[in-house]
Amino acid sequence: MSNAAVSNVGAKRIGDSYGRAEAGKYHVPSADAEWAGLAESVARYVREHKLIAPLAIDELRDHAAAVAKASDLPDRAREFLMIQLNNEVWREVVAAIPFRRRTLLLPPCMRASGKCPARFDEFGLLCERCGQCDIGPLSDEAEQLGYAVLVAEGTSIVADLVKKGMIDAVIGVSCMPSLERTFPHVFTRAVPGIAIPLLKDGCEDTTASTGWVRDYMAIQDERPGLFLDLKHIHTEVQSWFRESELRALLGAGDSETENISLAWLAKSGKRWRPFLAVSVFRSLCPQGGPVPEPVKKVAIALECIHKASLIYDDIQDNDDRRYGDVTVHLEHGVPLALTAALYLLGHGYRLIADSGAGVEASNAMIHLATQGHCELCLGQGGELSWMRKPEPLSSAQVLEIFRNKTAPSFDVVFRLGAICGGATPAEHAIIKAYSEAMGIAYQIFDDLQDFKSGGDVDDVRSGRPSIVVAAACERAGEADRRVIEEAWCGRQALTGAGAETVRELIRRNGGEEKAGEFLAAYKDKALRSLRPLENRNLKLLLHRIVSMVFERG
Amino acid sequence: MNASCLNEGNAASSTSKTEDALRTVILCRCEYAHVIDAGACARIDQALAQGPFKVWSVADLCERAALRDPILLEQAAKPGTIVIACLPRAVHSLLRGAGLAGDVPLPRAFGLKGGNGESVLRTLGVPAPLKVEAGAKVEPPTPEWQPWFPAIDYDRCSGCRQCVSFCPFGVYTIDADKRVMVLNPRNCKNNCPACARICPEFAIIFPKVNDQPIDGSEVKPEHIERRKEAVLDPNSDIHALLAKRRQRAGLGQFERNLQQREAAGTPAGARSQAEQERAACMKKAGEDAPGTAIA
Repeated sequence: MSNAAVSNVGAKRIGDSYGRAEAGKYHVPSADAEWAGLAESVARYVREHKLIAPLAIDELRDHAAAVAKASDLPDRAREFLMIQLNNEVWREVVAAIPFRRRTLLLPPCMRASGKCPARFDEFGLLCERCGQCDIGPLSDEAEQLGYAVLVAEGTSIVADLVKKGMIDAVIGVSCMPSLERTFPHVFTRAVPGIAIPLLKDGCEDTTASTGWVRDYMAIQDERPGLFLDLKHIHTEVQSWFRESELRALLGAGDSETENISLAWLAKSGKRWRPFLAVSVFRSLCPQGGPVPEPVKKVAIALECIHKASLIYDDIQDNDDRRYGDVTVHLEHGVPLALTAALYLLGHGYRLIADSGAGVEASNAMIHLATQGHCELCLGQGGELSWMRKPEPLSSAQVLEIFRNKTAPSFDVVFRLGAICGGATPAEHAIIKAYSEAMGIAYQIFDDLQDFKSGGDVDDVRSGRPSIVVAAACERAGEADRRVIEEAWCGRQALTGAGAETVRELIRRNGGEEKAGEFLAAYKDKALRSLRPLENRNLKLLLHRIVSMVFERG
Repeated sequence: MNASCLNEGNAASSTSKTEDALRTVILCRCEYAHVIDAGACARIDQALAQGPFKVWSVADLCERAALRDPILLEQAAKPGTIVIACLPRAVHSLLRGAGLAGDVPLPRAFGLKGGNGESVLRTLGVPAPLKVEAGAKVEPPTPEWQPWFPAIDYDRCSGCRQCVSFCPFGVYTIDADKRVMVLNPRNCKNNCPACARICPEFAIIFPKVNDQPIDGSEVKPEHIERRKEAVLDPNSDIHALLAKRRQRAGLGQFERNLQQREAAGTPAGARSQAEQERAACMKKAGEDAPGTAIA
């Protein structure tokens, strides 16, 4: 490090204070001046190495080791350095988030024990501002800035706030063990956050450096476009799907086919695909104002194509219900349902072609979308062929089917957004790898959910390529394996009790467990694929999507 | 008073009763923790001595439970045993946590918290003594550890294990039946009821906490309702929710103080002003909720 001499001066002092720190596993510099010196060397390191949040725990550990080595800090400082590194990589993201979208989380153990007049409710401690501890003054200052202040244990309520989009950043004061516990959760959800460790912990009469809290609380960067407001994007996207607006956009008349199609398109649904595509676009093109018309058309096109595919899915699976209502083919008959699906599909491609995104971009999008379309058909077709003549599959074969069946739909959504936003070839390559891992993870997740819910149409009896079943077969002994395979490949009709026996066999042979491992591995692969991304918002978005997708239901 | 001393009840009022016919009463006397009133304990103790009861006073039922005291389990499992302590739900959860097997019926439990013991005596059909002798001061059972740890209400626990992953001190574990259990009560940090606050089912009880329902009070619809409010509607505004919460909590005095302070241009956090406000708030809290213990 170029400023090694300067850092070393600070380091000596800091090192001394570690020596004096209370006995325990963790050490936190106890004076503001010492902390400031350390923070500066960490900040410099983050700038020099262009680190972009979120960083995984192993990345933080490696960087902390590098900082400690360069600044000649003791080993025991490692955890603290990791926290400070994490704070500094998030700094710019947090600074761009308006105060009203942030929360300050203080631990109730900072209160004056035995003297605190405050009560607790579901949000935590209701501070009375009695002046006996730092909670009151810090809360006042934070609230004056616009923060939502919570004095509560742990992060469950905060995680909930972030997950639901009610809050976008957290500045949290907590003890080191608690921060260590919390890290995996905030990392998974990519919560922009600053963590300030307690100087004195022990769950009673704890203290934090108020100067330190104040410094971080006040960071602010109001330049437009820095903050990716997902909540706002979601609201805007939802507003496009009112039937009257869709009708105008598609220029639809009053025929039965048009009415069925439009009603189906307008009918509920989370609008995930348009939301994700627009979010990718926004992270690449962070200008203000409403979403540009071409992007809006492409996003609606994705929903048209998706809704068309759902009609086909429901017919193929012979499903009666969707969105808590009867399926299109049940209500209107298969021929009309197929026609409506084709009509929506046509509109989808037409919207992309006519989006006005420019010839080159439109061509690229049509190319990607149709290519994805063909791959999905082959994936789905492969599965249907297997179902006609089922043979036991290895888990590798099942994962390959998943790759073909689902990865393209993720890829199309993200990359159409990326094309609209003018992503670089490197970004496209990352998104492609990410989509593949996500697609596979998604199918594994779906399999696991199906197996756990154990409904009438579980994969054992309806004979699908299931990763849970394949994994169980690979681990089972000869006798068990034969029973599971017989059931899987439908050679043996199963009654309710018989199916339960097979399910138990699958469970006992570790099918769920192994599938869970696969799921974790592919989620991890998706997250790892994002590491080289240099676009802050894109990295944050794609990272957060992983938890959004796998926390549903 | 020794924690394990057994006060033999005086059977004078029913001379035909034999030792076996006396009902065992386990009486918790953790007055030192300010959970139950010392006078109430003394009243119960003296009154029961006049009836067909055999009273076992324990200095701290939590401690007995943490020790998984075999005598406690034996006495609690005996048909007819009565436990008088802070709150019934806390007692029952402590006993199950201490190892009272799931198929053994729980003893009848009475709550003394917030009362003077007279209603308990009424229910038991024992006349309250006219004058209560102030007995010997009950000391904490163990000087180095004031028993403080969670008890799990298995009737409410859904097995979500959030507490297990939440607690940094290894208090909880998963037992052979895959149930959450308290493994290391002594690892728990005094006055930290954090895990109880994150429990989505109100299944974690800290008998010595001064907060309902995690002290073991019955879980009321309003508690669940409030938690539902805290289980946030993604379309609601967090600032509006917090404002509503403050209003409901009746911190009107605080708000007024804040406005006053802003109007006066006093810097936020000024110590002296805060002291005055504190006095005002505490006075008000005292008027609003007589009997609410504010230490």
